[in-house]
Amino acid sequence: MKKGAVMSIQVFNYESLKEQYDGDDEFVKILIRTYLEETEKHLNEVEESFLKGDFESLCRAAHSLKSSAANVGSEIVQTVAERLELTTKEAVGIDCEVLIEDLKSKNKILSKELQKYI
Amino acid sequence: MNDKKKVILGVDDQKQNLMILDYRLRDDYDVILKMSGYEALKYLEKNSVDLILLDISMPGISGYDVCKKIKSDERFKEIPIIFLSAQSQPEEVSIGFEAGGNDYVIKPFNVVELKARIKSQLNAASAKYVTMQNDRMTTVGSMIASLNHEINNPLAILAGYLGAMKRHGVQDENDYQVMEDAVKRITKILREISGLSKVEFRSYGNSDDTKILKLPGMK
Repeated sequence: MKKGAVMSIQVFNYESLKEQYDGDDEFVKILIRTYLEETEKHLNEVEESFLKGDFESLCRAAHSLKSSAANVGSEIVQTVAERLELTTKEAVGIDCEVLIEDLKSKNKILSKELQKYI
Repeated sequence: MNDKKKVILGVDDQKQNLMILDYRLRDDYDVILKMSGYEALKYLEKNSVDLILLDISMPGISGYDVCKKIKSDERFKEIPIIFLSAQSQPEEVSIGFEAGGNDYVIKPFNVVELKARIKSQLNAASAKYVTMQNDRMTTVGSMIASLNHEINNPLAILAGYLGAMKRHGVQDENDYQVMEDAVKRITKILREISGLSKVEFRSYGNSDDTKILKLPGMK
């Protein structure tokens, strides 16, 4: 794969999110703040339920993360969260740990980016 | 349509999703937000809503189960439910319809599409309501016709006998008994009609209205 192809997956695009909400800066900021709050909660849930072996809760938390990431238009986090959701749903579980680490690091990149706008 | 805004109940365990719903719909609708299925069901007990937007994946009671509960309750089963879910597999959509959902929209939703689907469900619900009201009126109409007949019969007997007595005097002592029976029949029917106001229509959507309204002794 060419380097450009990898880069084409969006971390975050403030302008396109703003456009979705008719240029309403105020609301987009609230949305970002809520993302940061809720994601921290869901990531904790992911880790805790993984340690407990509770795949149902893990799956639901991954689903929430996917949905939150989609709301701010971050494909990069959305994709990993979805992969984790599907893995846990099918109770395969093998790649969970790797996926969780991946999700955490990608969310870190996204959160850092989001912080700039609030 | 009237000026009063229709009420939409949004149910989702994620605050962010509820915020978006509210932001998108508040100009056109009264938006009520609940963060769990339990809260939503509790709200329905005391309040009326026109449509429900329901998330599927929620802790506690899932959206599917909330939907089943609502659709199996006589009081609420006509409220349209649109599932709003980040699930995108076809089987999830099909489970949603099996649970009784009226429509399914995938999150993150396109606002124009969501609004169109809401409108379509609200229109279908009010069209159905009008049909049911008409059915009720038909039921009431046929009841009145049948009561009319029930009263006319003994009344005709009374009038006939009374006319004969006036012309020829009392010919047969039994005539009094026939006339008394006719008066009794009319009295009985009138008593039953006055009891009718206590008979309530069951919540709309029940096609058995005729049975409930049938009087004892009526054919």
